Amino acid sequence: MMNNTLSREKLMRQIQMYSFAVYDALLYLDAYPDSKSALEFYNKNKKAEARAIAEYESRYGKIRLSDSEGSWQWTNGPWPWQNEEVK
Amino acid sequence: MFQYEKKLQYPVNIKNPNPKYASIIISQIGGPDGEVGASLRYLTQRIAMPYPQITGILTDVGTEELSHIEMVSAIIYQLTKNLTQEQIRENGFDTYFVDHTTGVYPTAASGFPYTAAAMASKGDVLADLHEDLAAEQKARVTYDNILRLVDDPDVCDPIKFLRAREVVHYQRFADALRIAQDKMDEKNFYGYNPVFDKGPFARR
Repeated sequence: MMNNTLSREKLMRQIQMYSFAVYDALLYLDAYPDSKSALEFYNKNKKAEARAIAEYESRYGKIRLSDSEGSWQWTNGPWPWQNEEVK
Repeated sequence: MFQYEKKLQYPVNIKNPNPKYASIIISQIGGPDGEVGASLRYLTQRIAMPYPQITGILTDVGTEELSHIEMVSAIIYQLTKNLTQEQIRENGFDTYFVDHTTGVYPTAASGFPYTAAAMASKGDVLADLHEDLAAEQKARVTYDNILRLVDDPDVCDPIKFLRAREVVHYQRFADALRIAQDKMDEKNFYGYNPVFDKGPFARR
């Protein structure tokens, strides 16, 4: 479950973890569309990913440009290639 | 269309700049088996692919390769941040620096700029999938070679992730090859499918 005290970096790590699980399952399902266990794994991680993204976006701005709304934060840094540990 | 996601596929956080490492790892941007070539190979091949399931695999792997360009770029960027005059002059980084400063430019480590000559899009299911299987192995070897030359754990960690992805992509392309072969004539001894050889493409 989401924890309000999670740092930006830890929250991003959760998104990366769930997004990766979702993507790798998706790629597997391309080749094995009838795999029930892969679909189950995909759906479970898809939900967890959506929760983590919603939590992150409520504090730090949108991850996808087309989701941007209201005040324009899309161009705010840091950008992904910048070291998360160096402020 | 494509849409950007403002996140890395896997984290890159490098504490110590090292231009020597950057001058080696740049090959996985613009070298013969780098991520620029990988993404272009799959995203072009998918257009002429006759089987929708394999088009899907090429689309998804090709898109992931775009995110790998970004990951390798992050590695280069962090390895070349806040360099001293001495660091620029030493370790052979000066030859890259004179042309590109610390900008990310698609080139092989040996200095040859990115060329599409190192990839193929043949418009033939079997030729393209065998190209893809070989490409994933060549990229895997290049990441292995980087791991032979680099010993900073901050750098090796994302490189190991990228190496593992080459292995997974190889598996998916092997699946794609099996899917393609299942659709071909039963007596397909020669690695091509006579069914394709019809209409305007019929051989004379």
